[in-house]
Amino acid sequence: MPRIPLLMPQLGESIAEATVVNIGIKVGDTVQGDQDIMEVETNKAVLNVSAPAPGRILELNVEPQGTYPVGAVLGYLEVTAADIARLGLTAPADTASAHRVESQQGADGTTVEMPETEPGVASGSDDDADRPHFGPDETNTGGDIFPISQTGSANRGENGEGVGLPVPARVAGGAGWFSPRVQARMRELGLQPGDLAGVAGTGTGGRPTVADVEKFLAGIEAHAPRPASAMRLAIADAMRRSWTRPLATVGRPIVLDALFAHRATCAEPKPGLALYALRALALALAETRGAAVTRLIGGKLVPPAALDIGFAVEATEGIVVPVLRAADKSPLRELTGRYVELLALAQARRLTPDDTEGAVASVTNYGPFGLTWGTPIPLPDQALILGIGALQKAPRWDEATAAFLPVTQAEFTLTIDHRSLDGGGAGRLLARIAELLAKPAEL
Amino acid sequence: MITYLEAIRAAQQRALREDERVFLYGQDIGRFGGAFKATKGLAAEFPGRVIDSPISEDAQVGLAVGAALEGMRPIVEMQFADFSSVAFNQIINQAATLFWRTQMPCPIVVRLPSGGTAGSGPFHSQCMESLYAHYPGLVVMTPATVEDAYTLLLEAVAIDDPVVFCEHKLLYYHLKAARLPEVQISFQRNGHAPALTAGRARLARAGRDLTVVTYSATVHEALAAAAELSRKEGIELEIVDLRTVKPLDTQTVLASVARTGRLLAVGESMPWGGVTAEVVARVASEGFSLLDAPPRRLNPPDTPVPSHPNLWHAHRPGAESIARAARDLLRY
Repeated sequence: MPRIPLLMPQLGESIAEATVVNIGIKVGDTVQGDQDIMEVETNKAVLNVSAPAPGRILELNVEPQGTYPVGAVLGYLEVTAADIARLGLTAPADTASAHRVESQQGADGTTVEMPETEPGVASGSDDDADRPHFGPDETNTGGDIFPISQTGSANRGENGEGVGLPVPARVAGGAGWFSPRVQARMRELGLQPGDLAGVAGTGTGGRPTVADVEKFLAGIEAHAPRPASAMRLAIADAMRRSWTRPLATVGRPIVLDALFAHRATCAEPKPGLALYALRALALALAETRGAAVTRLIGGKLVPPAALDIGFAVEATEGIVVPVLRAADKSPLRELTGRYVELLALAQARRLTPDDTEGAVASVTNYGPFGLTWGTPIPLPDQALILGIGALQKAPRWDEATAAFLPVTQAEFTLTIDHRSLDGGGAGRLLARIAELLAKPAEL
Repeated sequence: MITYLEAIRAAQQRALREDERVFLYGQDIGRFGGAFKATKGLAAEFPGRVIDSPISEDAQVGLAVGAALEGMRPIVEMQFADFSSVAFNQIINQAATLFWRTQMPCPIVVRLPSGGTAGSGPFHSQCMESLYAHYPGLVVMTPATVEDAYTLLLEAVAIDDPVVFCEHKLLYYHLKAARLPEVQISFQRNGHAPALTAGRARLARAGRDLTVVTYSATVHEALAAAAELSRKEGIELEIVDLRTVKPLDTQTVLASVARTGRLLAVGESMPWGGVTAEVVARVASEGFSLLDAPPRRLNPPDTPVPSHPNLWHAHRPGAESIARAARDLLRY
């Protein structure tokens, strides 16, 4: 008996594909004409696919949750010749195809197929039946473009042959993929991928098409954009580059009562909390010959030339990070003068490149903003950043008096490049900083 | 109204009238008027200049090359493009290389009634332009319109290079124009017209979404696909008619892809290599940053042209398969 394909119907004018959500029949089942055999879901509705004629289900090519384009062969139905005639379908008398089942358009657009011949063998006269022929060069035909968005079972051949690695469905691009055209436009306009995060791509897999990008850019113009300052752009660029690394942040509270007691005894200008922390960091790093700020670049360990440490200062347009040279070599009171000087230059935006370049790590005090914890990003050429949270009064158990005593503490965070430093190294470094800050007179 | 075929006849008539070096040579082209009547009445009008040849394509082109060497400008008619393969040696080894070997031009035109009609089968349906375009020294023309059939054939006669003129049989009787275009051409100055049409592609339809590059009869298939897509789906195809596949007007193609970001090259010759592959290769290498989607091609499947009318329809790129390919490419 002849068989007819069960096709994914045209489900609406703008619908190109649908997802099979429920299959109500199985191979071998007998179905009535117009009987609903499966449910498919489009982005608009759930709809039924019905049998075009009474018959027996010979084959099902779909899987639940698989997505198939309109016109896809979902399976095959064995029907009588009488029904084919009644439905106005015409079955080809002979298929002279070498490889593929040739389909014949029926009167209503339904196709009728005859059983397949052996693959790779041209049917024809019996004399030729055992003479192998190469099939058409399908990779080059361009004759029938595969639907790009066709998903579902991958490398199953028409006859179930071809067992191997699963072949990905022809999903082009994806959200993070930019076409040559979009890339060229991004280069032209100085756009980074992050700049296009707001584009909901309409291409396959959420790919932003060039039309999407142009629409997005046109939309931006409506908001009266103005040029960003050079400083803002520099920070953006530094943060973006740094973010390409696997950064990790660890933290712990550090008690600061001793530090503030010491600070009260200092002559003006008094060192600030950040400077204490900076000096403690430098000393702790020096003790391990800069192990924690040794960068891993292209398979090579790059130790610091000197323990120059930066400190973040908020200026009008954004953050600047002046640098204290060889912070491990000068005691705190000597560093204070230079610190105050750099701070003034930073706030006046008078820092020179000499004042800001070459640090191996930085300190940032985000406590004044009321922040108790953060995950600051180190500058891209620096190995880590030490963060200081807001001061907090906290109870601490005191064994001597068997009571909770109030202490002043802050959360200290260390953001590291996890390629070169692990949590243990970061934890030990923070612990050592805590010890050093407990004896501020020695700094 | 004048048909595509009548335009070809008219161009030959004008060439015979205006340049005494022109003569026509082909099988049954004299009293019989040619297999498709492209030379109807010309033998009577130009006695001794519309000559019946023996049934030997090889001899036809060989004679034409010799005559061109003697200063003549012959137009050779093949009964079917498919049979030009019998003259392959004369076309690609002799005619194409003559100037490069001897500095003597070889101004012959070989007319190839090309492409299929339903039921014509594998020996009377082929499109040979991709094959001839491969050879340096040949100009390959593939007019899609009545006007271009007339203009390009006149230019083919006038220019000094050997020209393979691919005229599509599907267009012969059905494609009509109100009148022939005014063509300023001087045969005596060997085609130094103010501006030749040959080598310049034509924008057959403007559209914003996708560029279809094609030529000859499939231009009309693409136009039909474009009309359908525009009407039903709001998709606007831009269609570039190459007119001559060699030389290939890369600039016009790139300019269109610059507007749309997407390319579909459609051709009726075999898919392996060929004109569509050349278009895709040029756009990919010279216009990479213009592309928002992979450049694609649509050709017949890699099989001989089938005989059965239904198979023939399925084999040839048509409005439906072009629309399908365009729709698919637009979803990328």
